[in-house]
Amino acid sequence: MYKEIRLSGFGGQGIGLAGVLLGRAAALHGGLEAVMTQAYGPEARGGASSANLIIGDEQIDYPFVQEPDILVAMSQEAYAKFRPTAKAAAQVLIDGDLVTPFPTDVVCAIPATRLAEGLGRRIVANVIMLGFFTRQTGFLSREAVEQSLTESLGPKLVPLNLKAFAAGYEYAVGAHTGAPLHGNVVLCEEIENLGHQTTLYTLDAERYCHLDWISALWCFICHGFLFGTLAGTAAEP
Amino acid sequence: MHGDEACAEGAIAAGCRFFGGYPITPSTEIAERFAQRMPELGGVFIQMEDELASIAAVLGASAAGARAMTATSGPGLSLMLENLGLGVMLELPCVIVDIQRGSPSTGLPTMAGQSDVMQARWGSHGDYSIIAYAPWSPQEAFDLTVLSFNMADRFRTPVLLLGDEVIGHMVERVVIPPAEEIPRWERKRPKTPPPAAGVYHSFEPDPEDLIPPLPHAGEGYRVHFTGLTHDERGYPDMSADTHHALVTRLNAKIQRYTEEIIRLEEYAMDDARLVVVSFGCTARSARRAVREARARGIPVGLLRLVSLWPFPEAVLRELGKRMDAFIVAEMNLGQVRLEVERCIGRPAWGVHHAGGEMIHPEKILAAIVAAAM
Repeated sequence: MYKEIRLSGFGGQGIGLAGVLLGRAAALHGGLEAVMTQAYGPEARGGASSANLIIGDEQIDYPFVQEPDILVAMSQEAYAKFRPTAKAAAQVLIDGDLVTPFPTDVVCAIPATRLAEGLGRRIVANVIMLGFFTRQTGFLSREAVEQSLTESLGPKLVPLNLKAFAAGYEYAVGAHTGAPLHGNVVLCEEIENLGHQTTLYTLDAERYCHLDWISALWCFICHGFLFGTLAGTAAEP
Repeated sequence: MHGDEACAEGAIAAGCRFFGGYPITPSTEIAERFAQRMPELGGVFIQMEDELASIAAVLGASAAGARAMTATSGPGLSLMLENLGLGVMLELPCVIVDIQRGSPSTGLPTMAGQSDVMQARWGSHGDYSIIAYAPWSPQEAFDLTVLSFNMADRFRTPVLLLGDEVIGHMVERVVIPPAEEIPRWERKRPKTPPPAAGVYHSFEPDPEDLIPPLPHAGEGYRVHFTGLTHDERGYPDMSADTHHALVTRLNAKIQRYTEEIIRLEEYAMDDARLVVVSFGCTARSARRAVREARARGIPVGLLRLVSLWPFPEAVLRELGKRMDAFIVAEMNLGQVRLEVERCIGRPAWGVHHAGGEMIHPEKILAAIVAAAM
């Protein structure tokens, strides 16, 4: 196993911490080798931030991520900046409320920030994403990451973060049972079936049965509006 | 933990309780870690006014008996070099960490370089020998910092740790052994009590290994230290004979023990016909390149210079007789290649980059393929 992973978002979301937690889970509790590098320079809160990990079962030589196999994007800017750096068939995990993916991209989405607000602390969105990541990528056990969390954070912060982790982890499970989807987001279990193909998500009736009716209606309205606009544009001289 | 933190923790594990420094990217995290850790351990962290003062404070702390160190990068090392020579002349053990960045001058503050190799060896004026190690991982940043302190005390001399920005800022697993498993070689200390009258001969070499015992300030010994050429009492002695004897001994006490000091790591060398020589972060790319070349059936091995100074002349001379080709990969324009060629007596292939980004394994692989043809 050899995975190049890029976690990205905006400065202040705790992307670096998520990277450290993930790396520790792999290197200290997952029986794997891990290296993390971060862009180093005049970074500021709000700018695009990333943490880059290579996780493998052999000692890692070259420590820099070149073409991620897995990309996590928690902001639109980070997605736009880093999606082109990842493999075309990369596994892409996004905060679905904050990122609108390219129309041709296949992604797994979780409203991490909204869920974090639901837990009362927006700052745990990174840990919710970590839970989602753990479940979706499947190469680390839930226990390994939970142990990493417990060891790395101050004792007072542990219960909330374990809760956040569980929310992300269980959301991934929930997605299989028809949780709300956005735009061209594909159900997580379908990613594997798609293999290396990155397809344009097309509107079809079959897919709408996975959506609740409000989302479905909203999609129809949006698309209707879009097609209407396009048709209008095409008619212009 | 990242390489800079691991380096600071290595120093602390080795018993270092004095850090005098002037923060500079990419070594700043070492100073930060010390600033955080020293108060809880009863040690001293001083942010000095500049690098000149930093190393002066470190030498003073060493004379007082502390394991002491400073950390800097190329531009700071340039400023420390004058007093590095003083450390050599006064034979004061200390560790100077240089997390290299793109140079010369201010260069690339946030990006890696490996171009202080010759500065480390020859930077201060005069003839002297130096010990330098080059970690290739955060784990080694820990281990080699411990070793540097031990070597400094063993040979009563400053030791350099030449890291680089990649290793300094890279996060990897670091295993810190229990305190009782951290090796500690003590300084050679006076065997006799302070003399009733007159000064203690703090530069009188032990005939066995040329290293004089070092009394610490406050122990009752009257000592004299000067950067001028001095006799065994430490008093200035402006004679050519004394000077020649002193400088020769300062070199000999290290050159005589090169085998004890040098650390090398071999990878896939058993049946190798070609050898890649590399160090620090570049050696990671070199190992990947060697693996890939081996997969293509090229009999190539890696000689990693864990220690840079003293240079492993005997090993390279011997390899020079057996190997078809040498490839030196380093993030500078040929500083180690020069040494390798001096030892093997013929040209070597060079994979060089002036710094800023790590040399990619592909470039080293291309050189291996070319050299194998």
